[in-house]
Amino acid sequence: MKTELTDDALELGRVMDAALAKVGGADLARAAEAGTGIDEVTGILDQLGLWDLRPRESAEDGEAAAAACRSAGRVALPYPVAERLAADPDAGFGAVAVATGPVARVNLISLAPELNWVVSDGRARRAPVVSAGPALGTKLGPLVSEVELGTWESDDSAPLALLLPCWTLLGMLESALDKTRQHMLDRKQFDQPIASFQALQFRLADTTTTLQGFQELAKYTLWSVLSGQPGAAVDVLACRVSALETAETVFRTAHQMHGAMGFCDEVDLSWLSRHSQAIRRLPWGHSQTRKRLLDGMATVPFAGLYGDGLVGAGDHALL
Amino acid sequence: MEFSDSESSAALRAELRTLVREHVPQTFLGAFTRDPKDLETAQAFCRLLAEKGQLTPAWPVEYGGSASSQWDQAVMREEMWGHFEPRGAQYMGVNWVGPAIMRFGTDEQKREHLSRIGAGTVIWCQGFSEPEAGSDLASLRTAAVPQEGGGWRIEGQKVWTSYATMADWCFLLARTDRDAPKHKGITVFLVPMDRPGIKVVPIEAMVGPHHLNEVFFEGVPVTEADVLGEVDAGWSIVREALAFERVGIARYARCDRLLNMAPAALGDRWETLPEELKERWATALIHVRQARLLAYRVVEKIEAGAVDPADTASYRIAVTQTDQEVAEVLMDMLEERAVGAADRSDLFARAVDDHWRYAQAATVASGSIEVQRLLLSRSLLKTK
Repeated sequence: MKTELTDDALELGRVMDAALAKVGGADLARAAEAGTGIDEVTGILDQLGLWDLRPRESAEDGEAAAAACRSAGRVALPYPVAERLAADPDAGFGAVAVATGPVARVNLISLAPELNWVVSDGRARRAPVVSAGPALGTKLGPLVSEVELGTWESDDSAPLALLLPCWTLLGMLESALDKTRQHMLDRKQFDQPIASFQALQFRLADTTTTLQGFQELAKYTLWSVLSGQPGAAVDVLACRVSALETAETVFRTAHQMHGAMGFCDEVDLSWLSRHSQAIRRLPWGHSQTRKRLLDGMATVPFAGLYGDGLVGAGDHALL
Repeated sequence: MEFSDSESSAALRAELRTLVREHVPQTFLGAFTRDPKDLETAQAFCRLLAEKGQLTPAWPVEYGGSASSQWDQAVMREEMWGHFEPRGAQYMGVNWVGPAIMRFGTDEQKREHLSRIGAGTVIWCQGFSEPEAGSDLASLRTAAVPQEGGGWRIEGQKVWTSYATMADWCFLLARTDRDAPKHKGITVFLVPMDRPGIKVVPIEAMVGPHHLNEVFFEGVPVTEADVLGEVDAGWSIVREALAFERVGIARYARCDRLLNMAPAALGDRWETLPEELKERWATALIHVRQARLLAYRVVEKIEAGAVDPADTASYRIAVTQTDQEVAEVLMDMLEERAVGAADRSDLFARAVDDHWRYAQAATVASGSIEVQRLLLSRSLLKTK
């Protein structure tokens, strides 16, 4: 049993965090909405050597890729890091996003339209993006575009294409909770830091516990996908369910603790919260993801200590 | 990363499952029932584990253990709790009373107690909580009153004392210095339960028989030979003793087993359940997996010598709430059978009934969830 990322992956995460902080952190997201700064982002990512990683071929590279996605999430980085790392350049596509529904919507595509994007159906097919519209520019989906698709073909991208954005979201949640903790220590009301109020302390403890559960599940799921476990296809759906539950908990706590200040674009929390929405709503929200998980568990094992979630396959000793 | 059992853990898991299959009846739902055969099953299983060297694998070799890895200890916790704890009340002696005696006991105390705990032939109870001292344990009032000519007499009352009706010994906390600050002046006594002046009164309760008792101490004589460690040093001994049991019960293991069993146990009625309930079942499986992974996070930190009480606290917050969530999901799935199995052979319904009743105490026992939240938030909000 080894439940932590490789030292190399952790080091890549630290280096990427430092590099992105040096050029402004969440200010990069502010610049992207204003239509600037993308060259600076791509320059840093090129220097870090991210695009040499081959998560499909090497578990070590897969762990490094996850760490990179988490670092990108910490600053709501306006670049499709997860989508690019989940792709397969050798198969002719440089970025992949899962999208379903009558109109396919893809986050961040307008920032790197040159990548030969494909869309995965979240199962076993992909279709090339033949054209992408402009970014919506809305508050909650500022960098989301509608796309037109070509012909569907078979594909095995879905597990990584679903999982790596969960790691991006993980970075966002870690960052949001870290900023909340600091705000609790800095913000004074009734002549004392709001961290001194037990109701808030308990809420922080509960939210942290939820986040830690998701952190561990994200690592487990990464291992499952990278090592080709039989249940990987449902594990990624379970991970996404946890990601969405945790996001709701963390951002609810973060906004409540920050008060009105948390809604202002002056603070990073507002950017993390708004930019998390594209990951949380696309391709599916909480209920749709949970339904897909339950459907998947009819045929794909969800491994536990005493069974695999398949109907009728559990330990029958008590029957 | 690697989330599979190691070869040794997998072998241990297989061995334990074989032992349970061969020596614990399929109808066993725990040692604490009104049927004395269940306690006999547990006692016999403990002796068997002891013979196989599997009752105290975590103990140092010099005391009859095999100094097993933290991961193997996790497997032991999972397999025992997953199979309704066939060690019965033994886990307390094995998990922390024994280690505390190793750490603080005299040679005489080690001779007296360790071999019997290691052989699975003795049951301990813990004399901690009192009517006025629950989460605030250091407020305990049970007094050790000094006697002319040496020794003390114990006067006071303990409450919620699990297994007191069947225990041979009590790990007792009593106040030896009334004038000292409340965390000082407490002493640990190792007291045989048949000593004159001890009276046990069972408390009828929803969690089931044997779990809750009152224990009255009326002039119970104790001597220097009964003291564990130094007089007045009991608080630090208890803190250290309970740290031996950092991870605690692997509640997630039984949750995992019962949830996985549900579809087959419900048979055709599974198909008629509302989709919303099946989705809650799937979500509960995710939360059980997360609780297990949080336990592994603590185990990895213990192995690395870097564990913090806050790590254990977040695990306990997660696992106790998950225990209760699973209990609610399973009860919903039982539908009308949730208020009681019509037939004693309906083991699944009986197991869920037992799980639900015991889960009510999950966020209260062994340090309430509020205490865990305090521990965790204090650590999080320490100025870095």
